Amino acid sequence: MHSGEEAGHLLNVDALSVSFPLFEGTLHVLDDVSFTINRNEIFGLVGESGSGKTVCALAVMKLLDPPGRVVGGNAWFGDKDLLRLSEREMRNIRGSKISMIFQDPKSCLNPFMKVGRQMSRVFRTHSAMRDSEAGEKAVEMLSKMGIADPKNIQNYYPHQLSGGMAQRVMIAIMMSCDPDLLVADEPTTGLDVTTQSEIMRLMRQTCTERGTSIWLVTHDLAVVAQNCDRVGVMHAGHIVEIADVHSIFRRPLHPYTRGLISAVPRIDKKIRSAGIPGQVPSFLNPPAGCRFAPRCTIARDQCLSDKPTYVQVEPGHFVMCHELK
Amino acid sequence: METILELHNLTKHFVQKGTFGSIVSTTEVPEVTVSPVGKKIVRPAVTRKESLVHAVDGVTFSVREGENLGLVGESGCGKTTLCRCIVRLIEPTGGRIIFRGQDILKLRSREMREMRRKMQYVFQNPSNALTPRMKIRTILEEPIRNFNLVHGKTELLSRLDELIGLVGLSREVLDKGPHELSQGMKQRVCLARALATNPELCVLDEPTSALDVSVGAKIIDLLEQLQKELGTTYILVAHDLSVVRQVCPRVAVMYLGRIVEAGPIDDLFSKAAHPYTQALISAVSIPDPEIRREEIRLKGEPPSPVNLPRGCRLSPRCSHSMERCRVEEPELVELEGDHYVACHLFLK
Repeated sequence: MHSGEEAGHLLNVDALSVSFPLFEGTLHVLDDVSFTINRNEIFGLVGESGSGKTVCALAVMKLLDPPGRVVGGNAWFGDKDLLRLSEREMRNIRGSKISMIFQDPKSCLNPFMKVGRQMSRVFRTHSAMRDSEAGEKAVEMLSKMGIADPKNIQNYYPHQLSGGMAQRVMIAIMMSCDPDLLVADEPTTGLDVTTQSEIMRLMRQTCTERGTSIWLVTHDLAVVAQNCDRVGVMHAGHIVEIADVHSIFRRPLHPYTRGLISAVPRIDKKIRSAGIPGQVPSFLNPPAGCRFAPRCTIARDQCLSDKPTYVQVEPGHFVMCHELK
Repeated sequence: METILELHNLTKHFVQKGTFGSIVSTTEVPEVTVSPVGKKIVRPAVTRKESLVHAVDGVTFSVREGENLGLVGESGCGKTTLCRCIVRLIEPTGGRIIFRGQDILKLRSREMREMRRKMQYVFQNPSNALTPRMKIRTILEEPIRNFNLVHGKTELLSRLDELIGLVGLSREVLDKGPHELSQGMKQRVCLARALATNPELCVLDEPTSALDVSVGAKIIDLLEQLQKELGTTYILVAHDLSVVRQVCPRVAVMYLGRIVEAGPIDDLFSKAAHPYTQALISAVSIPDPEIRREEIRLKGEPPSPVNLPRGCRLSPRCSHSMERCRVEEPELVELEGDHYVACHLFLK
């Protein structure tokens, strides 16, 4: 039914559901998650920790560890459904077409191998390159990533790098095969504000140059506001609101989005940040109706019993809330 | 307003022993011994290279009663070390800490213990700050018992109820263990423990950085409200300026162990003088896509606190760097009412 190529879609995730069968019962972590990522765009997926953002990214990458299982849905990438591919086919896509960077860059690098060597290994895996060529490319990539002394840094082990530098190395590796999509899972969390803005700038710049789309998974709305084109807001495994970045900040409609936005402390004006009552509900027995209802200040009886459906309030702006019916 | 805490030229240097790789032999004569079998053993005289980490390097500031001070800077600039020195969890190398007119570095350990009742500390990661084998009740009882703050069991119980209510938790929490609580709840327990002794000064080391935004917002709210009720003065450490903005009327910006700028928060945000402060402020993202700011960027990464650059510590990264900056270290001078800056651009 779907083909990803229509209307410039690069990735089309359709009704993705993921569950974790455990001894205590099944955790329904993702429930009917649908969204698209267009070419040359930065899509942000935001939510609190435990809302299922990372699981969503891992499921699409087919990197979900057992007991996590995809129980339904498709992820169209071009004319291929990623969720139906064999591991061998997926391996060809990972790295060359879609690549992923993680929150803690140091845990993704091999601690026993110098960074230059780790980088050239990746280059050689994906293209026929001689060792010396790959080494040169590693130095070139490092200097493109704004590392001052690449010749020296390539001989460092990961533990000798600062967090920001390690993340630069990761970006260099992940961008080396000119992927169509870069999945970035909390790439700047745990970094200083100054390093954070540098890393985001670097990612944006390299991706625009090469026409790569970014799927940014983060909890930081400020980062989203400054970098993304479109935003999906996730709460307890549902995308509750999805829109372009301007309308979501100008006119947040879902109570959860409003709560999230008002919770962010601001530097440019002094406002009282409000926060959201309660916590992300348990995935073991999620609320029957709207999963946000127990925390929602405007919840009605209907919210507790019926699951809301998407309402399109303006073109491209979808909200999952009974209030808007 | 009375001054509650003064720091004078506070310094903390750590000695870093070299690792295996950095062993250097000295110029002394190698040691020659003869083994029991008569074989000559030549062992070179070896020392391990020692270097000094200038974690906190001459910090002077004062905190007035009720006027919270925010301490900001990148990681590795010495914020946490400074805080630990203030409550003497680690001994400073030099300088003076005057708390309520008394130099606490001269106090003996028993007197210092008494002093800690008045100055409390909240650690960065609440998960590591609570003993996993104790019930919350025991955790909160400890400081109360330590300082004999209540008499009798009923008084203790009512004090515990009061404390747990103060931080917005329900009474059931008292009989739970730390592992049963969420991060936000744990941080509230940490706050309750710090407030148990009715401190005059509370040092908060990044109280929200381990929390989700929405939970962090509630903790900041709670801090404001608690101050209204109890009148505790805070020293709030953060690497995020927007967190500080809400609770602290005064801010000090730290870079590589030194205060580079300090002043009232509005002055600092509207007319930041020091190039480092400007860069720090411009790096904070605003949660509004309509506002795009021009970013002031610094070159490279902070140098290591072992090999400090000569002159101004920012000079290798600063775009305004002049000849003088690379030679002479600028002192903190008053720019205008209560706004201090350490930069040659403003030293005439």
